[in-house]
Amino acid sequence: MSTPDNARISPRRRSSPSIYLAIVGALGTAVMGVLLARPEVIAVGLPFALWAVHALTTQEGGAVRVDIAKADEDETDRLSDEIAIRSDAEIVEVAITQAERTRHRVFVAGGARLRSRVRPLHSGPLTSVEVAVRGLDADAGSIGAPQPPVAVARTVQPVMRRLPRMPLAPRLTGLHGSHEGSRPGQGGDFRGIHAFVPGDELRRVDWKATARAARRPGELLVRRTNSLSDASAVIVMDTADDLGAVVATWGNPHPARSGVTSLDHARSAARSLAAATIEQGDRVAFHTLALGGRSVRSGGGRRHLARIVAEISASGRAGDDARFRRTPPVPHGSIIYVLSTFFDGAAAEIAMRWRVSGHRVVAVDTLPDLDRSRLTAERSLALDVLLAERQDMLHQLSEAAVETVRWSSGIDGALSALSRTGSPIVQGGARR
Amino acid sequence: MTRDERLVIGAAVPGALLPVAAAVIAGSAAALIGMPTLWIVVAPAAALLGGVVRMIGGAWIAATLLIIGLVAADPSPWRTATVIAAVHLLQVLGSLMLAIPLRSWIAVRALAPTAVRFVLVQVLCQAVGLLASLLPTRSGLPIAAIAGAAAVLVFTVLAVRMLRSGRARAFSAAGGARGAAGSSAT
Repeated sequence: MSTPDNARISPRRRSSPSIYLAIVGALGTAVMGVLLARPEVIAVGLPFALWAVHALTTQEGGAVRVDIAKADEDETDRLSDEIAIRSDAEIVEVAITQAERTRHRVFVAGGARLRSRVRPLHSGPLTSVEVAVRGLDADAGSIGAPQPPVAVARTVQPVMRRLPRMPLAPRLTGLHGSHEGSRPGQGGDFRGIHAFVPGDELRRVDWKATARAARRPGELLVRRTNSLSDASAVIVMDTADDLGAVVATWGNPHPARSGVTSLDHARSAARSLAAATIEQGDRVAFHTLALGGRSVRSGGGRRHLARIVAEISASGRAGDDARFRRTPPVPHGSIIYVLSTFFDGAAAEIAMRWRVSGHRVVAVDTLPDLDRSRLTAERSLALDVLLAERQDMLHQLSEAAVETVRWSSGIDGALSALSRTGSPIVQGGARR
Repeated sequence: MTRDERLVIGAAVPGALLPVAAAVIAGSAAALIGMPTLWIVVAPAAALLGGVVRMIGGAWIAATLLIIGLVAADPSPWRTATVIAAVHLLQVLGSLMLAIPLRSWIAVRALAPTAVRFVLVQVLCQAVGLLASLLPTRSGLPIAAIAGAAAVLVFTVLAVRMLRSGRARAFSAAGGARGAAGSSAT
């Protein structure tokens, strides 16, 4: 990441008031020396005069180029950036914002190299360092124009939790996978004994059964097994809200004081669910609900998981039009995990719509355990009203046969329970 | 810099050091040239206050007080030398204080050109100051004044030429180095 070329041109420089004070000092001492007939007083004004002349005649040297490169870091939980300042200016003023929360102003030489190290407090997209510069010459008597800031965007991968057996989609597809399907095929359990028909493999002939149960000479009996199939899972993340555990920061979010946020939970849940789904041989897709949001098509395997994790890590809070949601396409008969705080009805409405369409829908509540400290009585009452509305929303989801689990506590047990109960409307012989 | 964020810029000093240094210089110079005790307190206080309230130009107030102290006292070469050095330092520090906030940090390397330029200008100015001290003072007021003013003019013109050529050389060297380095990979 570097300064754009057009930003290298410093359009306007300005002189510091110190130049005028130096001129006044030089003239004042000269006049005073003349009036008092004191040559040494005139000589005292010489440094003022030289300083002012030097500052006024300083040529433009304030164009500054900033190059930021990712640096190697020993500690895995740190992000490190190497900032190279290239300028002819004597001093370069550097305003640095680290991890979107800490600001520094430093003054360095023209060819200086700085190193920034930050520890991210949240997963997701992060501007690890943002640098704005301007050049100073002649002891800051000549000040260059501020240059456009240069920022480096990084992504922080969410924490992954190892999940137990996952709930199963209502419909299995394909002839490959880890789940036993309802169709005849290979790899599954014993299905039955049938008379040999064209198309059966000779190695499937069960000679003992033929000797025991063949009704006429020449009749062959074959063993048939079930096929192995895979299931489709869709992870849908609602990025409209990013609410921290500390409720007092909701109106004025601050990365350092907010505690763990709902999007931290959502990203962690999405990554964990994707990894567990792919680990058991199923296909998984990922979508965010915001308009123009991120999407990864359904697929399986480790490379697909890496793609999904990259998209999850890059998913941040949606913009101001986040209240308008899209409905992403999902494969028929999928299990859909909807990750949201369910404070507004949009995500719940989409979840219920999918449920009515025959999908198995699991609503994952990503609201963190709330810290109500430093809340006034009015804000505490407002929070109670919000939580009551949200509880009503979750109740409506339960009534619509949308299974609900809470991510922050006991997710392992909840998912195990869901995997045992199976879908409320399992179609067409999906088995574990 | 907190435990979660760290910024490494090399050897550096805090911006608050500038007004402190200005105050120390103003106080020391006031004491050296034998100013009254009140002014020995007021001059550094003005310099210190100038670091907090930049608009008042505290360093220049302190420099003015030192010049008044020089004028009020009898002519003396060492007193002149002290004031020449002090007002120059106060000018440099005052200019830096206008641009550098108290809570910022300054890399020591960034102050190297300032220090070199200060030494060069001081060599010149101290020589002029010594010559001016040797000139007759009260007996020939117009002659001394004209000589002093002419000296200031001549040395200013010479110094400008000298600094300009030196600066041009420095820029050409820096430009060549930058061109050789080319654009860096990011």
